[in-house]
Amino acid sequence: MKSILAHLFSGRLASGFRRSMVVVLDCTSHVGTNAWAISGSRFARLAPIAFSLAVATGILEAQSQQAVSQRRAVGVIYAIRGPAYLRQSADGRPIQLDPRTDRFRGLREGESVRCGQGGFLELVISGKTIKIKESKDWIPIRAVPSASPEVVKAIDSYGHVGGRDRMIASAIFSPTPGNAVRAKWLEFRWRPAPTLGPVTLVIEDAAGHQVWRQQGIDGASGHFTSEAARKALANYRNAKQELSLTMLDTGKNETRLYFNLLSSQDEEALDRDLRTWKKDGKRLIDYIGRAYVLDHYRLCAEVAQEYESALTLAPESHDLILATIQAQSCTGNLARMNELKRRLSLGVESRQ
Amino acid sequence: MKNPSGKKTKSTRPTAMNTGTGRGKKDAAAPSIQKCLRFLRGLFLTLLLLWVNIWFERTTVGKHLEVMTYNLLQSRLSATNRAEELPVVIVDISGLNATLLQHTSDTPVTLREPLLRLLTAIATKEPRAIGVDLDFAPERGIYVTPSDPDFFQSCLRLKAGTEVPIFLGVFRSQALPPQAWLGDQRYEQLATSIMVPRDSKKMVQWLRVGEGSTPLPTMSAALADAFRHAERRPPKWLRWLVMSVREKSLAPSLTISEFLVDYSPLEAIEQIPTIEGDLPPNLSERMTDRIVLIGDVKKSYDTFVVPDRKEPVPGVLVHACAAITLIQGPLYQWTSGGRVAIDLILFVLAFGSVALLNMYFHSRTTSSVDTERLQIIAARLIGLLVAVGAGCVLVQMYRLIWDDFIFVAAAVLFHPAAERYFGKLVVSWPILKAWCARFIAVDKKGHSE
Repeated sequence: MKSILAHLFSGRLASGFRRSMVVVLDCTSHVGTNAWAISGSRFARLAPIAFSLAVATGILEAQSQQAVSQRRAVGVIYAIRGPAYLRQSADGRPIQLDPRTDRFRGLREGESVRCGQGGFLELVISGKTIKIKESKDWIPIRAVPSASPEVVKAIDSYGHVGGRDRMIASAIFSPTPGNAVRAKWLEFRWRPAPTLGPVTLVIEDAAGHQVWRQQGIDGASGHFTSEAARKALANYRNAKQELSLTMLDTGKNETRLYFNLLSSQDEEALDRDLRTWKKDGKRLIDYIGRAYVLDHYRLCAEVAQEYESALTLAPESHDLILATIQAQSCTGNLARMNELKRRLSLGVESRQ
Repeated sequence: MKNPSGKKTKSTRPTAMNTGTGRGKKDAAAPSIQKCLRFLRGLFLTLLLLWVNIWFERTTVGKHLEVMTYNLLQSRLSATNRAEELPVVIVDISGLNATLLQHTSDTPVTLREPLLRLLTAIATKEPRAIGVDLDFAPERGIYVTPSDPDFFQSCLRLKAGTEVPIFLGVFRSQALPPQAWLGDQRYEQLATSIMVPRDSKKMVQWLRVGEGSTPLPTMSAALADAFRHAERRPPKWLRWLVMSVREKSLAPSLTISEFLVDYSPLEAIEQIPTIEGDLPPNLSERMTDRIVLIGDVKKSYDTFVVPDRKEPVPGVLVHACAAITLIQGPLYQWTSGGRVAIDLILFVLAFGSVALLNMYFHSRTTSSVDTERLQIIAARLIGLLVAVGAGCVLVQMYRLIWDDFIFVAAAVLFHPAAERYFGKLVVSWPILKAWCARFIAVDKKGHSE
C-alpha cells in the first residue's frame, strides 16, 4: 500500500503505472487471500476485485490529473456569471464552475468550456479576452497563436477581406444591431426610402413586453427622435437584458434588431472618460478622442458620427477615411461605406 | 544682301532644306565632335526624361493619370460577353442569411449545415473546383462555430470522394503559421486567402510569412490552378521585357506575389441565386467543368472600387475576375529593365533615323539636312506610334498594360523642343555662371562694407 501511495504522490505515475499495477495486484492478492481465509463468503471473494478496481480508478484519475497538468497552460478564467461548466478532457466529467472559487482558474489546452442558459464566461487566453455565452456545444480551449505585429500591420495596410463579413447590411443604422445605446442619446436612423411611407417603431424587452411604441413616423425621412422613448429606456438601464427594436411599414414588412442599454454605472464611467476630451470641442483630436472612448462602450452610432465630423476637417486623410468606413460598417450604412470607398480608391493609389 | 538698287532682298534659299539649329546657317561642314556631342545631349535628355517619368508616377497627379490610363486600357481589353464562355460561375448566397450564434459574440454567422448541403449538391455537378468566399478562420483561437471542425472534415471527405478540389476562405489567420489557418494542420490544404488589395487593379497570388514557410495561395490563384489551364505566354521577343507577376516584400518577414486583374468580363459572369440555401433545378451543364465560387453578391459589406466602374463591386466578383484573368491569360506589364529598354528603343527610332538620314545626305550633297525639322516629324510619328501601339495593339494582342504610355508619348513629342532649350542653356551657361559670380562678388562687397 505504501508503495502505491508513494507512486500516487510522486508525480511519476505515467512511467510507474505498470509498476503500480503490479504492486496493486500483489497487495490485493494478499488482501484477497486474507479475506478469503477469514470469511470464505461471496463478499470476501469480491472484496479484492473491488479493492483493486478502486485503486486502479484512483490511479487512472490521478494519471489523468497529471496528464492535464502536464498540458500547456494557455489562459485563465477571468469572470463567471450564471451556470458555466468546464471539462478537462473530451471524455471527462463536466465540472460546474463557481464564480467565487473558480475565478482566475487556469485553463489548459485540451480543456473545454460551455455556458448554460443565462451563463457567461470571460476568458483570457494567450493575452486575448474571449467572451462566451450560452451554448449547447463545448468550446475547446486552445492557445491563441500570435502573429507578428508588423506583419499584421502590413496586411491591414495592404488589403482587406474580400468575402462575406459577419455583419450583413442592416436597414436600421441606429440603434446598431448587437451594440449598445445610451438611453438619453437614443436616436432612430434607418435607410430612407421615398416609397417607405409611414412606419411604426416598437421597443420590447427580453420577455416581449412593450416598452415604447410610436406609429405614423415618416419613413422617407430616415430619422426620428423621441423623448418618451428615451425616458422609457431610462427605466431599463439596470435591467441587464437585451431589448429589441422593430420597424413595421404599411406593407406589414418587419425589420427587427437587438441592442443593449448602457447601465447607469457604465454611463457614469463613460462620462468620466469623456471628460478627458472637450465635450463640444471641434478640433480633430476632440472628435477622434471621443470616438475612441465611445467605441470602448460599443456606441457604434455615436462613433460613426464623431468620425464623420472629423472627416469634415480632414476629408482627404486616408486613415480617417478608413476609420470612418470601419465605423459605418458597424452601423450597417452600406451606401455611405461605398461612397467612402470610392473616395478612398483614388487616395489609395496615390499613397501606394 | 543688297541688289544693285541698294534695296535689301531676301537671300535665295538653296534647294536642300536648311539646317535646324542656328537657323538658316548651313551645317555642311559640322565637325563630327559636334555631332557626337549632340547625340550625347539627346541621350542625356532621354535618360533625364525617363527619370522625370519615374518621379512623376509617384506624385498624386501622376497616380491619377495612371488610373485614367489604366481605365482606358482596361476598356480596350477584349471582353467575353457570353457567360457560358467564362470558366467561372458564382453561386450567390445572399439569400442564405447569417444567423446569430450567441456562444462567442453577438455578430451573426453563416450556418455550416446549409453550406455543406450546397457544397455537396454542387460537387455532384462535376465542377473543376469549388471556392467558398467566407472567412472561416478561427477568431482568437476559437472556431467561429463549434461545428467548424466537423464542417472542415466533411469538406475533406467530399473532396476525396468526388475528387473536386474545395477551397475555404481565410483572412483573420493569414498572418499565422499554416497549421493555424483553419485551426488545425489537417485542414491546411483547404485554406486560401480572400484578401483583396486596396489597390484593386491588382490581386495577390500568394503570401508567405517567414522565410521558407508554406505560402498561402489566394482563392483566385488556387481555383485557377485547379482548373489546369494552358499558360498563355507572350511572344519570345517580348518575354524578357515583360512580367505577369511581381513579388514584393510588404514587411521584413512578409512576401507577396501580385498580378494585374482583367475586369472586362465582370458584367458577364453568371450568377446563380440560391433559393433558401438550395440550388435551383436544372443546373448540371452550368457548373460542369467550370469553377464554382460561392459568395454573397448582394448583401455583403466587402465591396471594392475597381477600374472603369462607377459602383463598388462585391469581393466575390473581384475573386472571380482574378481567377478568370489567370485562366484566360494574365495581364503583362513592363519590367523595370523593360521600361528603360522601351524608352531607349523609342529614342533610337526617333533620333537614330534622323542621324541615319544625316549620314546618308552628308556624302551625297553639299546642303545640310534640316535636322531639327526631321526630329520634330520623327518625334510626332513615334508619339503616334506609341499611342496607337499601347492603346490598341499591345493591349489587345499581347494583354500588355503600359499604364504610362501617355507620358512617354508626350516626352517623345516634346523631346526636340527640350533639346533645343537645353542647348540654349548649355550655350548660355558660361554667361549665367559669370553673372552669378559677379552677383556673389557684389553681395560680398556689400556685406563687408
